[in-house]
Amino acid sequence: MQLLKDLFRKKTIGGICLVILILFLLVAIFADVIAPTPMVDGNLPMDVRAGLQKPFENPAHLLGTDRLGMDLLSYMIYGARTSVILCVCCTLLSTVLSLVIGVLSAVIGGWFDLIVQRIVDAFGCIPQMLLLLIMMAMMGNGIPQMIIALAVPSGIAGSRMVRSSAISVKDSGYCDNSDLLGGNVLWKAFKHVVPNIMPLIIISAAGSLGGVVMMEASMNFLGYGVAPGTPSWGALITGQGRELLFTAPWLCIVPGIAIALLTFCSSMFGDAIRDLLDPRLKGGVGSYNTKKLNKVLARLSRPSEAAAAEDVA
Amino acid sequence: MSENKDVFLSNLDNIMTVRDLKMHFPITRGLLKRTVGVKAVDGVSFNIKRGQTLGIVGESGSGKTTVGNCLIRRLTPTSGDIVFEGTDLRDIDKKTMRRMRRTVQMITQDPFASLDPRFTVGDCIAEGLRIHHMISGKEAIEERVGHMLEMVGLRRDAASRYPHEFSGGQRQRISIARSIALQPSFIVCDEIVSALDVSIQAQIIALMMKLQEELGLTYVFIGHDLSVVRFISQNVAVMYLGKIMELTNSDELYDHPLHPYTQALISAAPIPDPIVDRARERILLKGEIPSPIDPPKGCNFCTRCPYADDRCREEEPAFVDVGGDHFVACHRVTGK
Repeated sequence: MQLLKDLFRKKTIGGICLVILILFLLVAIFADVIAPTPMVDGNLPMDVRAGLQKPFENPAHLLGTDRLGMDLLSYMIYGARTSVILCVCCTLLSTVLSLVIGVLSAVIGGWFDLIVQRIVDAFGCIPQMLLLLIMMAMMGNGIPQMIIALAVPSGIAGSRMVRSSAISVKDSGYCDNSDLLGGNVLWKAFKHVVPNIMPLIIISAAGSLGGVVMMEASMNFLGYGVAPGTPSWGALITGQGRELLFTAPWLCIVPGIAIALLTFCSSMFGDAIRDLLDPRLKGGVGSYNTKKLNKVLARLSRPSEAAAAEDVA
Repeated sequence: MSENKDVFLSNLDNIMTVRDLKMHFPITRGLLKRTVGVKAVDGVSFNIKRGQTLGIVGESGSGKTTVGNCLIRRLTPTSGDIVFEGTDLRDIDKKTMRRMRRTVQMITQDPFASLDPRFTVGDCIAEGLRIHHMISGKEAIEERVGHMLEMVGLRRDAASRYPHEFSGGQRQRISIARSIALQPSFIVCDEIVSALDVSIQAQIIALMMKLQEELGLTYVFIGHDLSVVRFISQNVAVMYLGKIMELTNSDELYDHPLHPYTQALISAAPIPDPIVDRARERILLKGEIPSPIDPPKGCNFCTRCPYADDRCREEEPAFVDVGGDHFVACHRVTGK
């Protein structure tokens, strides 16, 4: 709770980003209630005669329509369900996976480390897209399958970065000291290693969030994504958005803005949390405080005024 | 020689007895992958009396820290016995060893590395208590931590602050509080003042001596500053290339050093009186400490000893008592 308070007080932008992220999630969860034209039997109503309307022209279709006359706003809202949930679940799963593999590999070391790292290398040898397609072909289409297919390879790949930073923490004086106090491997891993590599984890998780939407889009493009017809931001960009880039650019721009906003917000939120969790920074350094900025700008502008005053004198 | 060692063991005042401790680290090198041993510690024997301090001095690479690490079983010695309160630390398994950490503690050199930057000072001190489930309940732990902070001369409210807010000396005090929170009876102090300013060194040494008196602690004090080690220790062992060259009570060692290496060390230590300092004779050692992979035949010190003769280069001197608990390993002293 204290953290949340600090987030809004010291890291206002981070706080606003959290609010936007929560809004995204709420929109995804309550899509049926919010959407101006709700789904009928799992499909958005189409009206080919009303196709390709521009945004802000027809109040019934605020963001315009696509080629088939689907309301873009409703499509985006239902798409949030796929894209946001997929993003969040996928990032969480892959982060947890890489954390567990990386930290255990680093802390236990020895043969365990050697074997685990060779398995990680083996995964790294297979091109990522190929791996995704193989996993999807094995498991079939659907959101849970996509979460697993996207999270497992990236979690395994990310474990290498976690391992290397965990090793440097493990070799530090305070980890050695927990040995001297009688702590075992698990104590060391969860009390010292994990909290100290948390900043890195948060930043990389926040950064990878946006990438997941685009991975999902490219899988859709190849026909291995969510079930055909399910709204998703990525599918819109790679589908009609790409085909009608010049005739109907809003089909690309609107989901593009949504993805950018999601990525930006998760990055800024992650950044804010990282700073707040570091006792050495205490949220002071890098806090986006506009008052402070104004003060700095005022100070910077002063010498020239003083110089001008001197010139006059 | 053997009678001497039995006298060693029969003394019940000894909290720890170390006999013929050897720690060789295997390294492979060369095209043929030959395994050679780095003889970091090569046959060290001493005993430590309850409530006293044994100082270990020696230059870098003499194996003093390795001895310290063996005493608390951070390293498993290649051979030799370490008997602590009747149990041989060589035989215990990992789990028992972790339990042993409550009674056998170590304080390390660098106060800037030894505290987790994400722990509050209170959490740092309570870490051992939590690991061993010694006290349960938030308030009981807080009370204990506060008491420990006062014992090492810090204020109780320091518990809620973070290590980076403290200076080197204060951080070393926190390290000490963390160790004594476990109520150990034996502490290995591994160069605990080397990273600190001279004025702070004196405060930390005074604190260690106060704690020894109040809690009845036994110390092994590893250092390279002769005057500091002399001040805190009752007995001092001088190590060179993995072996103890001379071992006796600290006044005797500093006033009547018998081994040429000890003499050289003491003559190199500065005296805070320029007239005395200028007048005395310096013994300058030539060269570097030899590699512990390939120590010289005979006496380890023969390559740099100003008095070395053929016998020193052929035959290893025994570590014997020359009277009055003054042990020395030198042919020149023990007679031809």
